[in-house]
Amino acid sequence: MGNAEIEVPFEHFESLEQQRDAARVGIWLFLATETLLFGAIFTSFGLYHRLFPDAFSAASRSLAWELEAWNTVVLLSSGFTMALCDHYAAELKRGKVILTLGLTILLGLTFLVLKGVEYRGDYVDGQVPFLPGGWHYSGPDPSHAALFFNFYFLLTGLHAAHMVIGISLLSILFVRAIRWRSQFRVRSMLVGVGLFWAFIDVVWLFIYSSLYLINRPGGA
Amino acid sequence: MTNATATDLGRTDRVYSEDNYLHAGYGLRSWLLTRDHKRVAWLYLVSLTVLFVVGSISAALIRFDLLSPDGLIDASVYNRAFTVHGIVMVFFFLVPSIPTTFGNFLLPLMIGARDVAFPRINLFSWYLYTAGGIFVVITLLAGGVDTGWTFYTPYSTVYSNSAVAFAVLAVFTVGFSSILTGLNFMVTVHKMRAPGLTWFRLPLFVWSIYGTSFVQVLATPVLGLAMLLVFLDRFLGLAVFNPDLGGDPVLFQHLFWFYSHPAVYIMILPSMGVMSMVIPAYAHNRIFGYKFIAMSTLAISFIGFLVWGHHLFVTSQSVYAGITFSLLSFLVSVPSAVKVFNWTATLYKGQVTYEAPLLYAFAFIGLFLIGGLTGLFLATLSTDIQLHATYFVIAHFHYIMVGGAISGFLAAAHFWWPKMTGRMYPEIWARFAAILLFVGFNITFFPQFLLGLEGMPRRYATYPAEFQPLNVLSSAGAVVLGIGYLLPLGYLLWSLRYGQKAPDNPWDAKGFEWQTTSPPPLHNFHRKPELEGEHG
Amino acid sequence: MATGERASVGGLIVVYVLLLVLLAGSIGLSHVDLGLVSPLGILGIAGLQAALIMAVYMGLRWSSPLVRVVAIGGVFFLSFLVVLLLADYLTRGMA
Repeated sequence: MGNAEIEVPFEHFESLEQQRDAARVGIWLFLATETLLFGAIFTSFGLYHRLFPDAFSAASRSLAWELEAWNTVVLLSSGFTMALCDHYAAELKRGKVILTLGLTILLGLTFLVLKGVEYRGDYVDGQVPFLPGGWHYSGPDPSHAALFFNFYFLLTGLHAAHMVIGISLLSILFVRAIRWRSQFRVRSMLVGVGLFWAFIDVVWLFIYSSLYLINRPGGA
Repeated sequence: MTNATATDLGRTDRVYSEDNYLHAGYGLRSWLLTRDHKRVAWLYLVSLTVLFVVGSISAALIRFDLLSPDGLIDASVYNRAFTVHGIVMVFFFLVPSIPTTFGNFLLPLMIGARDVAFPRINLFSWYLYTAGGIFVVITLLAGGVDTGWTFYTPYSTVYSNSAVAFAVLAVFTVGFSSILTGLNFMVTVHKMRAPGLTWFRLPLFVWSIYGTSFVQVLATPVLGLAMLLVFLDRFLGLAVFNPDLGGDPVLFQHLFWFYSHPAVYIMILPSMGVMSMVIPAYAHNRIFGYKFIAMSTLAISFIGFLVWGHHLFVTSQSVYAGITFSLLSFLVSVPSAVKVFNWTATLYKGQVTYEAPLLYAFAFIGLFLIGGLTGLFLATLSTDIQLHATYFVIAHFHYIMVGGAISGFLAAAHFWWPKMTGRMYPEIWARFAAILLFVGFNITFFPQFLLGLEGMPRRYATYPAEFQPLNVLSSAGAVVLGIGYLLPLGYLLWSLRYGQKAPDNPWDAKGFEWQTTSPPPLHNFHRKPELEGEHG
Repeated sequence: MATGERASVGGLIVVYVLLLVLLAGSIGLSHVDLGLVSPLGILGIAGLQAALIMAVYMGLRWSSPLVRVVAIGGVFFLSFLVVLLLADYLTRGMA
C-alpha cells in the first residue's frame, strides 16, 4: 500500500472495477434509506401543513429566512468545494485535495455556527415549544404553530446531526490526506463521503424551500 | 478418512475436511474481529439464541398468567411481559433470524463468491444487533416497557410510565443493523455473482434473501423515524403526535406500519426460500415453476409495501383508504399461494425421503396455509371489525411467524447443519422434535382462533371465566412447544462434539454450497464450483 | 463512475453558478404572490437543484443503470407512502 503505484482490490473482490461498482451501489442504497427517512418527515409535515395552513404559514414567516439564505449559499459552496475535492482525488492530486477538503470543512462548520446563531434567536423569540422558558409565541393559533416549530427543529436538527457526521468523516479524511499513506483508500473514501455530503445538500434545499420560502408573502 | 458411514450418506468419500473456516483462527479475537461471513453467521446464531430465550421467558409469563381468568400475575407486569415478548421476538429474533445466520453463511457460497460485498460492515451489523440487545436488557432492568411492541401514541409518548425511551432506542439500533445487512446482501447479489450465474440461474434461497433485503433497506428507515419521534417526545418533549397540538396519533400508526407490515414479509420470505431448497432436495425432484417462485418473491416484496393500512381499519383512517388497502391485501396473498402450489407440485412424482428438514417443511406448508387463509378474514373490512385486537389476530400471526417462519428456520438449521459444522445431527431425535413441535404448536395456537372468534381480547391480563378451558389448553400446548424447541438446542449442541462426521453432500442436493467441503474452507471453495442443471 | 468519466472543473463551476442563480430565483419567487404558482415554483426549483446536484456532483450522469435505479428507487418507494397517506387524509370525512 502507501504510495504503491498499483491499486489492489480487497481480497474478496475479483477486480477493482467490481469493488468500485459495489461501493457506489452500496452508498446509493444507503442514501435511498436517508431519502425515506427525510421523505417521511416531509410527508408528515406536508400533511399537517394542509391541516393547519394558517398557523403553519404564520409560524413559517417568523423564521430567519435571510440568515438561512446566506447559510444556503455557504452550504452550496461547500458542495462545490466537495465536488472539486472528489475531482482532484480521482487524479490523486494531494495538494488540491487537502485544500478543497479543508475549505469544505470550514464551510460546513460555518453553516453549523450560523445555525447555532439562528437557534439562539429562536429561543430568545420564544419559538422553542419543548424547552422550558423557550415558548412564548405571539402569533396566531399557538398550539398548531407549536407543531410547526417542532417539525422545524426536527428537520433542521436532524439535518445538522447529519452535518456533524459528515464533518467528522471529512476530518478523518483530512488527516489521512495529509498523511497520504494510502492514497487509494483516501480516494475511495472520498467518493463515499462526497456522495453523502452532496445528498445532505439536497436535503437542505428542500428544507429551506418548504420551511422558509413557500409561506413567505408570496407563498400559499 | 476411514469413517465407515461416509458412503451411506453421499456420493463423495470426503468427510469433515480439517482445512475449514473453523480452524482458520482460535480465540475470542478471531471471532469478535472476524471478517468471515461464516463466522459472522455463528456470532448472530449465538446472540439470536440468547434473545430468543428472553422472548420465550416472557411468553411463558403470558401463558402462565392466562391459566386463570383473574390472571396469575399483576396486570402491569403482564403488560410488560407481552410488550417485551413482541419487541424481542419480532425485532430481535424473527426479522434477523434466517438472513443473518443462514443468509450470511450461504449467500456467498451459493453465488460462488468469497465473502459478502462489505465484510466489515457485516461484522458491524452484528455489533449493532448486540448493542440493541443490550439496550433491551437495560430496558428490562429499568422496569420494562408496557406499551405493546407497537408503541402506539399518545400512550407511549405521553402517558406511559415505563422505560419507553430505552426500548425505542433498542429498536432503532437493531433497525440500523437490519438496514446494513440488507444493503450488504443486495450489493452482494448484484455485484458478486460468479461469471455466467445470471439471475434466473440463482438458487431460490438467494432470490428470497434478495427480496427480503430489498424490504429491509426501503422500509426500515421509516421505522427508524417512528422510533426517533417517540424518543424525541419522551426525551425532549418534541411532540408531533400529540392531539393537544393538533397532532394525529394515527399518523404514528401509519409510519409504524409502513415498516411493520413489510416486516412480516422480511420474516417469512427467507423461510419460503428455505422451502424452495429443502423440498426439491428431499423430493429428489426439480423445483416446479422456478420462474414463478422467483417472480412471486419479488411480487410479495413489492406489493407488501402497499397494504399496511389493514392494521388501521378500526382507526379514524378513511373508509376509502381502507377499501384500497383491503383490496391490495387480498392481492398480496396470491403470490404466496402460487408458491405453496409450486412446492406441492414439486413433491408430486418425486422419490420423497422423510428426513427432519422435510418434516419441518411439511409443518411450514400446513401451518403457513392456515395462517395465510385466516389473514384473509382480517383483510376483509367487515370481519376485521369483529376480529381486530382479539386472539384471532394473535393466532393468525403466530401460525405464520412461529408455524411458518420458525419451522423454516429449523428446517434450514437441520438442512445446512452438516455443511456449517461438518457434523450430522441425530436423525431420530430430530424427527421426533419436529413432530413434537407441530403437535405442541397446534395445541397452543389453534384454541386461540376459537377464543378470538368468541371475543377474547388481546393484551388483557384477565378474561371472562368461560374462556378458561381453551386458555389452559393453550398454555399446556406451550409447554410441549417449549420442549420442541429445547430438543434441537440440545441435540444440535451435542452433535458439535459427538455427531457423525458429515460428507460434502449428505443429501445429494444441488447447489454450489454442496460442492465444497463440510465445513467449507476459509475462502469457501478449493475448486471453482460448477453449475449443475439450469439453476441452483 | 466506474468508467472514470466525470465532470470537468469547468462543469462543476457552471453547476455551482446555476445553483446559486436558481436559489436567487427561488427567493425572488417567494416575494411575489402568484397564487399557487409560487410554492409549486419554489419546490420545483428545489427539485431542479436536486437534479443538478445528483446528475453532476454525484455523478449520476455517468453512472450505470443499476446506480440510477437505486438513486430513484428511494423516491419511488417514498411515493407509495405519500400516495397512500394522502389517500387516507384527503378522503376522511367524505360520506
